[in-house]
Formats: sequence, structure tokens, C-alpha cells
Amino acid sequence: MASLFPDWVTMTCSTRLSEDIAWVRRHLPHQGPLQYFVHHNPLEAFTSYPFAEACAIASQLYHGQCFLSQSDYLHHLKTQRIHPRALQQVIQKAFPQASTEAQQAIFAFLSDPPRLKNPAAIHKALQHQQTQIPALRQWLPWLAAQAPTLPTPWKTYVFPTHGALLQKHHGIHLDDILHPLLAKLFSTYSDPGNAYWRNEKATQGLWTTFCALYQQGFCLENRWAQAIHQHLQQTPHFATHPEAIAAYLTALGVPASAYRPYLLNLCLRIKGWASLFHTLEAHPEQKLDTTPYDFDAFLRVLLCFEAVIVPQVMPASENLSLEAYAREQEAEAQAHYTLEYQWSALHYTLHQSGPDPLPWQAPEIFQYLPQLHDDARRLLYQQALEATYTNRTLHTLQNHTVPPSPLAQVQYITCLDDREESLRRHLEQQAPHCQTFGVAGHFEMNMHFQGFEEIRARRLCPGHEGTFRVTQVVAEEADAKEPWRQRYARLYRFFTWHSRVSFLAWILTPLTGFWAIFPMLLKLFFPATDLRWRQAIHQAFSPDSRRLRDLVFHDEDNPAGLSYAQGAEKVAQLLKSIGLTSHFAPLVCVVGHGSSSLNNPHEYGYNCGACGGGKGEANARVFAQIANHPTVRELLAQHHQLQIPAETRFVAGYHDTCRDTLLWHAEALSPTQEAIFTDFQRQVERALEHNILERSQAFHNLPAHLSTAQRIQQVRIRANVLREARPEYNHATNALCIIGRRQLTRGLSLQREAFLCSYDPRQDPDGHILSRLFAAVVPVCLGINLEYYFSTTDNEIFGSGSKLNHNLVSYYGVMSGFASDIRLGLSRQMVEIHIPKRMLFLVEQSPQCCEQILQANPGLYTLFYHHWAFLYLWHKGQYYHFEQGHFLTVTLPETVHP
Amino acid sequence: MSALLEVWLPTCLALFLLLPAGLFALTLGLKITLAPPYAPLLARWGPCVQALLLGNALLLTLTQTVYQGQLFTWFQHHHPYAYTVHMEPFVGAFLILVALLSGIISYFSHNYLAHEAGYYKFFLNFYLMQFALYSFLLSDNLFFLLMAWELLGLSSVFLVSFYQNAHKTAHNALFVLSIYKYCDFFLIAALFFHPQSLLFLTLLWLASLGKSGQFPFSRWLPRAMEGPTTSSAIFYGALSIHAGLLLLLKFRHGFALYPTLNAIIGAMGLLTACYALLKSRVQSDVKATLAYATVAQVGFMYLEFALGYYTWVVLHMYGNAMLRSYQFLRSPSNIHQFHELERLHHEPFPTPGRGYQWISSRLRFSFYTVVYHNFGLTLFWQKLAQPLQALHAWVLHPLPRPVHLLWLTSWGLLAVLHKLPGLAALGLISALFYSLRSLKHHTLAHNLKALSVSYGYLSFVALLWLEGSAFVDAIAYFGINIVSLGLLHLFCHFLTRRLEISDIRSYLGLGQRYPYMNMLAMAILLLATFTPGFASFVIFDLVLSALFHTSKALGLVFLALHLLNTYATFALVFKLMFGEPPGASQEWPDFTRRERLKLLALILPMIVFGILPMLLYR
Repeated sequence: MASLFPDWVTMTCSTRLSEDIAWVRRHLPHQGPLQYFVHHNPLEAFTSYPFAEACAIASQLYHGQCFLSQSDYLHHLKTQRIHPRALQQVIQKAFPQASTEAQQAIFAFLSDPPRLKNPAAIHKALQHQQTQIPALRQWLPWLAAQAPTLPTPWKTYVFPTHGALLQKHHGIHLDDILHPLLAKLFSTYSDPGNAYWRNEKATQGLWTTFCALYQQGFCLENRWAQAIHQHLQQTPHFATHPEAIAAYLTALGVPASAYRPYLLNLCLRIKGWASLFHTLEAHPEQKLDTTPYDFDAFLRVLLCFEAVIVPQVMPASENLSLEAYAREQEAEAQAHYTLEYQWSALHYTLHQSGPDPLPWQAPEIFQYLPQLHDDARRLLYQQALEATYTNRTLHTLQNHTVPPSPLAQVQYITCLDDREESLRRHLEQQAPHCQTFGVAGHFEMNMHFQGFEEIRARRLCPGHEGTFRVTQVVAEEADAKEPWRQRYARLYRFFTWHSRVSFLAWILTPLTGFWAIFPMLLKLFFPATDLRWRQAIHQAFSPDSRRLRDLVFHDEDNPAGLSYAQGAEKVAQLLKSIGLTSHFAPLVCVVGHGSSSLNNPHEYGYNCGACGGGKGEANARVFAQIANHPTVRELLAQHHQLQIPAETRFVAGYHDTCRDTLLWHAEALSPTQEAIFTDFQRQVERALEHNILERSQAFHNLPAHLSTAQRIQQVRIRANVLREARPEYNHATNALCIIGRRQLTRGLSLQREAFLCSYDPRQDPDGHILSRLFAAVVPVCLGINLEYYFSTTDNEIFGSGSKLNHNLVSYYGVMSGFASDIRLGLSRQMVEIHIPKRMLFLVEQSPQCCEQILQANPGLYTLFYHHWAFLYLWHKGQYYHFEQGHFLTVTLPETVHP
Repeated sequence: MSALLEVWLPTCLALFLLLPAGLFALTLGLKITLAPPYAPLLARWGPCVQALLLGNALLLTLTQTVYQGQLFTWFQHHHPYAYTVHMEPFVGAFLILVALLSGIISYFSHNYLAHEAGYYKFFLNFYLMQFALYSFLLSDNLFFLLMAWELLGLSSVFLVSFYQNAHKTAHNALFVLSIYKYCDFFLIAALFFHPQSLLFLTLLWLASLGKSGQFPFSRWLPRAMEGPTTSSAIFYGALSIHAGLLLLLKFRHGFALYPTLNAIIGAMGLLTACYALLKSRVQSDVKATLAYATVAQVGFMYLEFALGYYTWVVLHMYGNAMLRSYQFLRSPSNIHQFHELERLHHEPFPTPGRGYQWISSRLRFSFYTVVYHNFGLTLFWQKLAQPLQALHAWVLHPLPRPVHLLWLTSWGLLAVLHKLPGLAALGLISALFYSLRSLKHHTLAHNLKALSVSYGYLSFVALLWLEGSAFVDAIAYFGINIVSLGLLHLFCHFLTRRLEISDIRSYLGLGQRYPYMNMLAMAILLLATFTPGFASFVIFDLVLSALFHTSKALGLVFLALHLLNTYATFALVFKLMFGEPPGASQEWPDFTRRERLKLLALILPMIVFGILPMLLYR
């Protein structure tokens, strides 16, 4: 190893790496621990690029697919999910300078595109065609000369690592050697309590732990570990040297100009762990213990492994530098591009004009063929798929006649979540006197919440700004059942540990092991009974939920809480944003949502996205408590012009989207309110049942012959079924977000595709409220939408693959199988019914107002400008579309096929 | 009453084999017709059949306890290839355990694996495992025992590689396979010794070590966690992991005669338990912790077995199987359990292992490091294998074609003229040479050639050194080799005609694109490797026993080389079919129905050819 680092001391690396590392961190995925799972756009780092370009970059950088496969799109074309007219529309937009004939030719080409993509297969096919048509022997080289150069927007990001080189040239999977060692190091380091023996050095930082683990030489894992050990011994100070990273990079033969892309590509080879480490460093509140996280150390460890092991496995005959390999790859990509061009041209010619007459005079379409290569074609199909959806949706909304809304007895405020759309619809059907609103599900409660007995507070809001703290306590004095719960926890823990890892297991296993059959049978065959029993036990040993109180205000001995004025401001903000400023009903229900299911490490991803992956129950409760407070009511009337009548009461609720149950926290209701509430509860129950029936259609394992009651029972119990891989479908099928009054959509079935955010443009002429809504709603909805989008297009790369072999590691993530990378994104079971579409935002506001808002908010402007989502406006009976920085009026086609 | 029993009991017995086999056939049918990956038919009737099996097991055991020692006399034939049955209380106990747990898991899996691409693959292997386990438990014939043992291993390997579109799983499956092949070597070798002899029992024990993940083979178990959670539960938590011990229990009366052997078995069991318990303490992922926990308990069971507490072993096995399968099944819930317990406890739990605070932290960490690095065992093996690797590197040196031909002809001529033992050894060394060459993958043509030549040398050794009736067997062996390798060549030819796949240094992942080709490849693989269960194994068995009669050493080397070739064939087919498919592989041209049928038509006679010996030799 000495030869590898001959003069490390004298090495003068003046490169300032910290900027490069910061750049790398910005471009890494940032999914943290599972219990803080929040949907985010996997390509968030590239949102400054147009969507198509970002996809091109991502497909090179991650080696993943950003669109569905061509055969999927062709299937959609057949089933009219992509309407031919929408495809024509898209072609017109993409090739505006092309003549009508050329556009028709492109349409014909897209309706029957070339099927081959694999270079070897194309090569074979071309050879075969040459034997059939001898004229091709001259024509194909002529075509090759015509072929344009491949655009490479990814050049700043993509640089090969030795892993790619070794695999390509020698068939050696470097990661097969590195990942088990690295995963072992990272998982034992980050482990907050899965292993019985903790890594005691973990408190001293990753690099110290690494060195300590590889310090002694008498006992090492394998010969690679031995090489690492020798390296650390021979260059004891090297590793701690501030310029170590640069030195490693030099040793690996990385040119200084390529540090950034090299480090990025190196990290992406183990992107799950990289993502965990840098996220935990950035958000220490998500940690479960005191282990420090340092991304620099992480990089140093990665580089150390790479620098030591690459020379060991690299065959002596290999003398290609990374730069040369990068050039080789480029040439190969260009050759592939040319080949594809040839094949496309040939395909077009053979299909359009029969086998014989080959045009030496190229038709007009040939100049567009470079823009019709595989990925570009799939982008066009994708756009057509979205355009079809947009046309249909806008048409439906336009033709929708709004039913008259009676005077409200109950107002129901819930999350804008797409899963609440169907419930709201059913609720309005069942309870005609109920008016519903949708708003970001944290209800303006930007809080850290510490539930009763929880040992950590949890952030229950999307951002970090202006958070306050709420603690839940038992109202009366000491809780007599607490020791029992503690004893149970200790006993349970004792058993789980000692039945596995200690010598006691020798006695425990034969004597107690077979008892496991009883809970197993119970959980498997009688999940409903199991749930009932567990709930009964839970109730018997937990304090009565009515005795739990949330400490919100400063006055309640909570210095980190809110003042009454702040509380009033938050309430006013929420009510104004949804346009509920007058005509208050006697009951205003505020309903948060969450989800719970068994055997599902991704459970937190099913919770409320606006609550940072937490359950929205506490937010609703705290909101109701603030809004019901007499002082707050006074302040609202004084400073915010909100006259909430005394006979109006806010009631908190919690909707479990998996079980479809609603839990109420209703206190101090007057007799009138009580009567309305009892009635309303019954209606809610019926609405929930309808909601279940609607949901149940997506589940494959419910036999058709079930009665309605059985169906409801089966869906409700899914959450408690151990063998259920799909307790609910979460946000799958999301495609639309409507920011406007409920009158636009009331009575219309949007099939759980739509996020519905209440907003009254009449009360917001200057767009002040909309601007705030945009800032809160767009990132959350977009994160959800694009995470679903990319997890569907390439589940192995952007998603986490099948959940069935997921193996929980360090209580922070899951890996597939044994000793490997943490998987990011959504599992296949979550997205299998999703058809990826970028989100369609439909806002009820004037174009001038929106243009101002977007100008003032460059982040949002870029998102819409670059087509990460589509923005449409509905103003005075006319649709507008945001395109190229301007709002253009939309003319919908006369008829739209259903 | 007894007349009733005479009809009833064989029916009971036949059901154990027929029902899983029937379900296997049904699943195979559904898979071949490319049915959607969820079969309500199977999901509805599968659990019913499992319930029937459980009832069957209970009844049989009950009957056994009532009419002790009289059962199944009419099944006993004294013929090497006749299925003979042995029933005793402990077999009954395991029948119940197998029926119960596999029934539960099958009920679990129908829902859990629904709409998974490998739904049928899972159930094919699951029913195969059931069939293997039942026949393993009931069989009184070493030959069938071996078949069941091997089928069990196969189903395990195919479930480890369940997610075949990642090279990591294929790689780990091959690792598991290599351990299983090691077991097979000892078990097949044991067939040729007297069932009461010390050597026989020692071989049996050695064979059982690998299968039960005992020291020093424990490391394959965490690697086997690549399959779906349910397969981990049933194989490595509950049933398959105990197979080695079941094998020993079958011969417990023999073992009881040799206290020294028992002492070794006990010591190794204890060593395993200590090793695995220490290992399980540093694992930071759920499944690896459980895997080592299971191994530790099996280690204890070996110790109990050595001490002669057979009933306790049974009890222990029940406890371990039930507890582990439950823990495996709910392992994804562990994250919630962790938070829930912390909440109930109302304060963070103290770090476990407080009992060791009196040891200095330096020493504690040193010990932790030792366990972390697996006691340096892997390094030890790697050091030990270094000469082998050097040999392998030497073997891989390219040689011009005339050298190969010259060597083959000169050896052949010499061997025909003089049947010297030295020449046989030379032949086997040549076989080893080519076998080793085929282990390193360069190009498809190179590998196929090396594999064929290796099999060729093995066949020639058999042909030249066997006489009389054994010579006929050797010809049959040679014939089967030619046919199966020819089929493999043909198959690869089919693939290369459509695709550019000469370079096979990394996994190609063709199975993802071509499900039919994948199935055909697996069929060819099993046929080509004389898989026990496929009747061609009978031929191999005959040849092997004849060689054993000639010379024990010759037989052993022949067997080892055969297993090495089996591994090499698996590795080759896995390389072709498994691994990450290259981008947009769906867009590759498909094989026509005609081409597929052509291939299938070629396989059918092969299967017939495999079944024929079974009928002939009965």
C-alpha cells in the first residue's frame, strides 16, 4: 500500500474541497430515517433544469428509467388513455416548425415506433435487413454520416468510478466486495438499539470508529479488510490529515476538474447510506440516539475503501484512466445514438413506403428523427398521456353543474390529501348540511409535539420556521397504571432479547417457544379478535384519553408554546386561507389524518405529508383547543375581524385512512351542538362505509361474492392483517390538485386522484393568501406526485423494489436481503396501481394575480416553467395555461372521449 | 378394524406425497400458461389441502401411538429403489410440526406474495419443499432420503434467488448452493458404507453440519435472507434449518453406540451455539440477528442430541421452529415495536450488556472487534484457499487448441490400452482441470466447452474402468451426458442467434425478459446435473457405486468432481438467466412460439430418458 501513497506528507493539495462536498450533498437524495418518511421528489436537485433534461441527466446518473416503457405507452395508446388527438397536440407543440405532412408522419411514426433499443439487437436487425435489401449497404453508412451528435446535458454530473470500469471491462462487481463491509460498518455505527451489543466507539464519530475497528491485526474479516488494516497501519496519520480526501482522490487518479461528479457518482453507488448520513447530519432531531453524523467522515471512509481495494482487484493489464474510460463511454453512447438513428430511419422508411424504394432524398421527418429517439419518444407519449388527462379533467369540470349548497350545520375542515377527497364527497352526500374544506393537514400548527409518554418530541409540520412546542400530559396526578406498562415493556424486551441472543435462550426457547403458535394463529386467522383484545388491553392499561391534555399556551406553563395572540393569528390564518370568515356553523370539525398498519416499515409514509410524516391527530386537537379558547376568540374579533359566534364549537377528529375510522375529541358541547353532533357522527359513519366500498374496488384479494357488510369488515381489518402487503394504496393514482372553492367540484367524483385545497378568490383580490398557499401546498403535493412518478417508472432505482424481502436495518431503513444498501423511495406494492402523471394544478384565480405571485416566487416559477407540474387557472369561465412564463387561454376540444 | 387400517394407512401415507406433488403440478401448470400472478383457485384450496395434511399427520401419529410397531410392514421391499417407509413417534411429531407450520406459512404467503412476479415460483418451490420434507421424514431408504435432501436444498437455493433480477441474490444463492453441494458430497459418500459403521455416521454428521448452518458453515444463513420474508421464515426459521438434525435423529440408535463421536458432535454443537450467540449480538439488521439466533439454538440441539436427550431435542425443535417463524413473519413490524416499547417504558432503555461494565472498555471493544470481524474466520479460509486460488489462476492460462486435443487423444489411447489406476487418476485430474476452467467466466463458448470436456473426461473414466453390467450403466451415463450437454449447447445457440451474448463475465439477466426461456433453462439445468429426484440420478448412482466397488478413492474423487461440475453448470445458467437485465431489455425481440416448442420438444425425450432407468431398474 505504501506505493499507492508514496508521498502523502509532501502532497500539497490546495483544492478547496468543502465547496465540492457541499455541492455533492445538494445533489444526493435526502431521505432520512423511515419514521420521518416524507415524500420528496427524487430529482429535486435538478429542478432548475427542464423536466426532460433533468430526466436525461437522471437516467445517466442513476441508470434508471424516467418514463414508462414504450410498450406500456403503446398499450395506453390502444386503450385511449393516450388519446390520438392529444398525441397530435403534443407533436404540434414539440415540432412547431414542421410542416403538416411532417407532423402527420411523426404521428404515424409514434403510432408504430421502432421496437428495438438494445444496441446488439439493433445491430443484428440491421445486418439482417442488409441481406434482404442490398441497397442498404450504401444507404446505412450515408445515414450514419447524417446522424447528429448526442446532446449530453449530464456532463457536469456524470463521471465514471472504478466500479463501472471494472464491471464493464472485467465483469468484476466491485460493490459485491465493498458493500458488505461498508454496510456492516455503517449499520453497526448508526444502530440505535437493534444489536444487543452497541458499537461503543460510535459516540466518537465515524472515522474514529472505523479506525478502531480496523486497528488490531490479529483478527480481520477477510483479505480486503486486511488490506484496509494494513493501509491504516502504514499511513497512520494519513487518514486524519485534512487533505486526506484530496489525497485519496489523487491516488485514485481522479482529475481535479472531476472531483464533484466523481464524488457524486461514488456516493450514488451506495446512495441509501449516503442519504441517511447526510440527512441525519442536517436534521439531528431525526436521530434516535446521540451518535454524531459527519458526511465528510463518510466520504473519507468511502474513499479509503475505494482507494485501497481498487488497486487490489484491478487486473495488472488494465491501464485505462478514468478520464479515458469516460471518453470511451461517450464514444459508445454516440455510436449507440447513431445506430438508433439508423434504425429509426430504416424503420420509418420500410413502414411508410414499403420495402423497396429507398429515398436518397431524405424526407422532412428525418431532420426530426434525432428528437425522436427512444427517450424523447417516451417523453412525447408521457406528455400525451398527461394532455389526455388534462383535457378530460378540464372538460368534466367545465361541464359540471354545481348543486345548490344549503345552509351549513356542520363545517368539516380536513387535509387536502387525495385520500380525503372521496370521504368528503361521500360525507356531503350523506350529510347535506355539511360544508367541507381542505387545507394542508398540519392546520397551521407548526409544532414540535411530544405525546404523552413519548420520549422524543416530533415535528408535525412541513417546514422548520417558527415552530413551537406542545407537550401532552395527564391532567390529574400520578398515573397508577404506569408501573404496569413499564413492567410489561421491560418484560417484553427481556424476552425478545433473551429468546434470541443470550444463553438464556437455551432454556427460553424450548420452554416458551411453542407458545408463539397461539399469537401466530390468532393474528393470522382471527385478526379482528386480535385487534379487539389488544385494544381492550390497551384501554385497561392506558390512561383515559379524556384525561390527556395538550399544553399549548404560555399561560399553561409551557414557555416554548404560544401566546394567545400567536394562537389567534394562526387560527385566523387558517380560516382566512380556506375562506371561512363568516356563516360559522354550530360545529366546526377539524380532522387530521394518519394511518396504521402491521408489518409495514413504510407506515410513516402513509401518514400526513404536511405533518412531516406524522399523524395529524395532535394538530387537529391543538387547533381546536386554540380556536375554542375564549381569549383567542376575543383576540380574533379584535385584531382579525373574525367574529366567531359563541355557539360555534371546534371539534377535533382523527381519520385513520387505512381502517377508515374517525375518532373524535369532542368536549363541552351544548345540548344543541350535542344533538347535531350525534346526528353528524351517524352520517360520518355511513360516509366512511361508502368510502370503504369505493376503496375496496382497488384491492385484488376481495372476492366478488362478498356482501357489503363483509366487504366493509374485510377492508377495515386489513390494517391488522399480518399477511397483508397492501393495507392501503396511499396516494397512488394522484394526478390533480385543485386550489379553489369547493363549489367547483362538489358532487363530482374525482376518483381519489385529487388534492383539494380550499381557497376563496373572492376574499383574496391581491393574491396574498394564494401566495402563502402556493408556498405550502405546491412543494408537498409535488413531492408526493413526483415520488410516485419516479417510483413507478423505475421501481428498482427510484423506488425500493418489492417490500417482501425488505430487511429492517438499524431501525432507520430497509435493505433488500443481506448486507447491502438502504433502499430509498416507495415499494412496488405501493405504486402498482399508479399511472405516473405530473401533477395538474388548477387554481381559481386571475392570471394577472397569479403571474405576480409566480414572479415573486422564483422557486415556484421555475417548477412550472420547466414543466415539473402543470399550472392551469380557472377565471370567469375561462381556463388559462401557464406556458413559457405566460398565461395563455385554453380552448378545449369540443368533445372528449370518456 | 385392521382391514380398515390396511386401506386407510397407505392412503394416509400416499396423501403426504401426492397432495404436495399435486399442488406442485397445478402450480407448474399455472406458471406455464403464464397465468396472472395470483390464483384464487390455489389461494382457496391450497390452505384446505394444508389442513388436510395436518389432519393426516395427526391421525397417522395417533394410529402409530395406538398400534406401535406394526405400521407399514406392507410397504417394506428390499430393493434399493423401492420407497420404503419408516414410522415412529418422533417422525409423527415432526410430521405434525411440518404440516402445521408449512400450512400456516402457505396460508400467509398466498396473500403476501399475491401479484408478485415470482408468485408461482415461490409456490413451486414451497410445494417442492413440502414434498421433500414429507418424503425425507417418512423414508426408510437412504436413496430416497438423499433425493428428498437434495430437493429440499434445490427449493431453498431457488428461493434465495427468488429476486433473480439482481446479481447479488444470484451470487448469494450460489454461495448457499456451494454449501449444499458440500453436504451432498458426504451424504452421497455415506450411501456406500455400512449404516452402522462409524465412518457412515461421521459422514452423516458432516453432511448435516452444512445444512443446519453449523460452525463453520453458519455464514450462509444470513445470505439466504435474500428471498421473501415468508421463505426465510419457513426455511431458515422453522423447517429446513432443522433438516440436518432430523437426519441424525433418524440414525440416533447408531449414534448412541459411539460415545467419542457423540462427544465431538456435542462439542461442535456447543461451539456453534457460542459462536452464533456472539455473532447474533452484533448484527444490526433484524433478519441476520434471527438467523444467528436460530443457528445457536440448533447448536444447542446438537449438544442435546449428543447427550442423548432425544425427547428434549424434539421439544426444543418445536419451540425454536414456532418462535422463529413467528419472529421472522413479524420482523417488518420491529421498527414499530421498538418505538412502542420505548413509549410504554416512558424513558429510553438502558444499553443492554450492562453486566459487562466491569470489564475495561478497551478489552470490551477489542472483543467486540473480534466478533465484528467474524473471529477472522473468513480470512482464515481465504488464506487456506490461497494455494487453490493460485492453482486456479494457473489452470486458467490459455492453451492452444491442439494441446487440448493432443492431450485428450493421447490419454484416451493410453487408457484404452492399459487400464492403470494412474491413468484413471490422470483422467480425473483432467476433468478437474476443465471443471476449474469453467468456473471462471469469460465467454459462453469457452465455458460450454470447458464444461463439456470435463463431463467428457468423467464419462470416459466411467466407460473405461467399468466392466460387465456396470459398463452398460456407464454407457447410459455417457449418453445422458451427451444428450444433456447437447441440449445446453443447443439452448445457448438459440440464445446467441437472437442476442449478442458471447461475453458472460457479468450476469446477463435474460430470465427477466424471457420467462419461457427461464423455465427451459431451469429444466435443462436440473436434467444436466443429474439432480436426485430426476431419475437420471439412478444412472449416476449406479455408475458411482460401481466405481466405489472398483476403488473407494476413485469413487470419492469422481463424486467430488461431479458435484463441482454441478456447481459450475448452475453458475453458468445463473449467469445467463439471473442478474440485472440491461436497460430496456423488454424491447429485445422475443422467441417465437415455434422456437420455444422446438426447444421444449427436445427436452421432453430428455425427461423420458431420465425416467426410463427408474422403470428399468425396478
